[in-house]
Amino acid sequence: MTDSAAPVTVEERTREEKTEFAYQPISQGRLIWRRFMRHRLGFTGFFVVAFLVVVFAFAEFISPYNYTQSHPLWPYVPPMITRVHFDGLQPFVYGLVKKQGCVVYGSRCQPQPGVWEYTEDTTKKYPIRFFVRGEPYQLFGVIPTDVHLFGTGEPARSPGQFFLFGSDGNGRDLFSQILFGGRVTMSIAPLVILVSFLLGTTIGGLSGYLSGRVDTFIQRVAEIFMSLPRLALLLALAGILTHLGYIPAMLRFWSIVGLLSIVTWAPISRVIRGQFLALRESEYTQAARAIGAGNSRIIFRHIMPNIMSYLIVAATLAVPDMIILESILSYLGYGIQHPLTSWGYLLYSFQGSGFFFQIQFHAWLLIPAIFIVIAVLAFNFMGDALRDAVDPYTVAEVKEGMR
Amino acid sequence: MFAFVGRRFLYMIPILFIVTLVIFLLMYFQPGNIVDKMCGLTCPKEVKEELEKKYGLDRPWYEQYGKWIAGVLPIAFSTESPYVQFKEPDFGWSPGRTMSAWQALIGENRWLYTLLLVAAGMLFSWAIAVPIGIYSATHKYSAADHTFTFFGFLGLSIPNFILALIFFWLMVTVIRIGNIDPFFQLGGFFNAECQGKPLTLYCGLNFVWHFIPPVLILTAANTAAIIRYMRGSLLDVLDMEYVQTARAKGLAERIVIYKHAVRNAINPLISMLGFWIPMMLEGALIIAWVFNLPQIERSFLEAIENRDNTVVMTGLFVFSLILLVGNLIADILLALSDPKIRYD
Repeated sequence: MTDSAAPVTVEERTREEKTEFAYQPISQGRLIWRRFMRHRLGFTGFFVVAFLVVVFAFAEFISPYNYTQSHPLWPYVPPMITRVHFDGLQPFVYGLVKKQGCVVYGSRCQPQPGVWEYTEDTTKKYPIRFFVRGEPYQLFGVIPTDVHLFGTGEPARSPGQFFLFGSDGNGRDLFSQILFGGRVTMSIAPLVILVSFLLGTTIGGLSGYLSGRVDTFIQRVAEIFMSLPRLALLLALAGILTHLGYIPAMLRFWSIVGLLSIVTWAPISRVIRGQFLALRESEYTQAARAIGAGNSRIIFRHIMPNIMSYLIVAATLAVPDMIILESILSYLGYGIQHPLTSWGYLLYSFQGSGFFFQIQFHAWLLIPAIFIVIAVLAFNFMGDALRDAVDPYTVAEVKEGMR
Repeated sequence: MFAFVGRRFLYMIPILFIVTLVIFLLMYFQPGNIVDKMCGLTCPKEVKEELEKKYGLDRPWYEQYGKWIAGVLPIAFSTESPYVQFKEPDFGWSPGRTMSAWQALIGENRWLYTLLLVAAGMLFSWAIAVPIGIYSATHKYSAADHTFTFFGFLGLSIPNFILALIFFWLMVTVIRIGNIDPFFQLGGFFNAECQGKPLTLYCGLNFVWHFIPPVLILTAANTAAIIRYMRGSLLDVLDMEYVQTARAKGLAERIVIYKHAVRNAINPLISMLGFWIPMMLEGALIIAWVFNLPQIERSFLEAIENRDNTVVMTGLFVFSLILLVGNLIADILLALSDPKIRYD
């Protein structure tokens, strides 16, 4: 691509004689970006990730309710996304009418506690407005406000509620819970990646660069970590954490980050060590050493830039893995817990009163699973595209032609 | 070759030893123990101390570890004439389940179910994935290839437990299978009728009905990975010159592919066989939970829940052992399949 693009630029520039510089080089970063943009699926993945990040960053503002706010009058409301009506351009919902639901046994219908049937009261219309005043919250934890992006702006007991994805057994809005859970899940994954890659790169780099006895020792330690079953160890550790009793929410959050990092750093350090070993003997490193460069200069100016692209790609491809691990942990009840929420924890609490009962009557509470899949797919696509983009040996045109 | 395997095996022993130490210390230094759970919050101090004494929890950690590891070792040393003797490993007593920890972990045929699930999953994924991989590679960029690649990507991306949840959702709310017949009850390996009964034809069929979905879901990611590797590996081989030569000789395409290309392409996959055993066990951990299957993994999770430390330790030890043996098998297979690797 560059081979064909650059000469054109040169010719044009020389013909028009607009500038003295006939040749304009394209930086490596630009090259990677261009190749990345060409990967359609990968770019879609990037777009989805960026969108989710923005939405979760403004979760308080975008969600119509506070996620911990229960509405005792409106438990298990099915998703109302299909119940939005339009009055011209003005969307509105009808008032909710709650009725005891029943389960069909043979020919008769027996009332069943925990099952509610909701119908619409067509006499009352509640318009869905933008920038509506609702439950108070603090934007970014500092700015107190009560403006939500959309909603009906009705008090909690009013029948004019708008639960986009329905509500759970306590009448908490599932959509808001998904936004806040997404914020936790999507911040745990990069944090774990950051910590474990820092650990893995430091330890692996030291091991590869110093070699000798330090290397042998570090490699034995890494080997022992890799001989422990990852998920089982994680569950055992998180089980211990859970049995400690009450832990402040943020401490639990950081503990989960720590635990996930502990079980993931070893393989990373292995790979980094291999790269360091190879690059340490490369000609340009030897040249740098010959002109008297110190260790830190060689590491940070000569070796690190060369494994940076590998690190970035590996980190992106590791994010979905971390999202899944965190979801599994929370899904089994050993990860994120009540004051905070995450997608895995939402699925865990979904099972609260009997798995099959819930799945039969309140299946919409499985919606968080869809979000896990979306996030994982988006990161996978993005990582694949990034890998293709930074690989200097990929010939974009050939691949383009083969598709 | 034998020297290589022997050395590799001997190398495993110190690692396993340190792993046991790590596992033990992990369990030892956690605050609280099973006595807290058994005795409750309002436990008199004397009762607690007595219970701790009974289970040897009042001893220093190195003594407890020594006792544990001496039990775990399959050989016993003595000062009398057969100085070294083989014995059954003893993983300690599980006060929560009132049986030996080993029995608590694998008893009631749990080991058999785990073995069955993993073995069936392995066989199944290979039987399905290799032909699909070959087809995808030989029909590169056809509609079928794109379909397989797409589903492969989905299978790799969607976590097991979400596939299981989707399966349950389909069965319960879309097909409404619960209304048809008690035969189709979900979860476990048998329905209520066949639980603990001798295996009749009805119960055999019932077992098959309960057994297939977890196997399919457990192997989804595995199958997708094998398809991907097989396709890539075969595509690489098909570009080789000896394949061209075989074609130029006028051999039938079938022979070129199956006799010349596939045999070489499948080598790297076989070497990864040992690698996938621990991966399957990891997947089985969560499948056992979601499907409510009576497996080793389930008793392990229950032990974590009930703070049954001896069982958790046994479980971690067994999983580590399987992981190490899996790596050993992977190394041996790699050495066997690639003559370029030297054994020393």
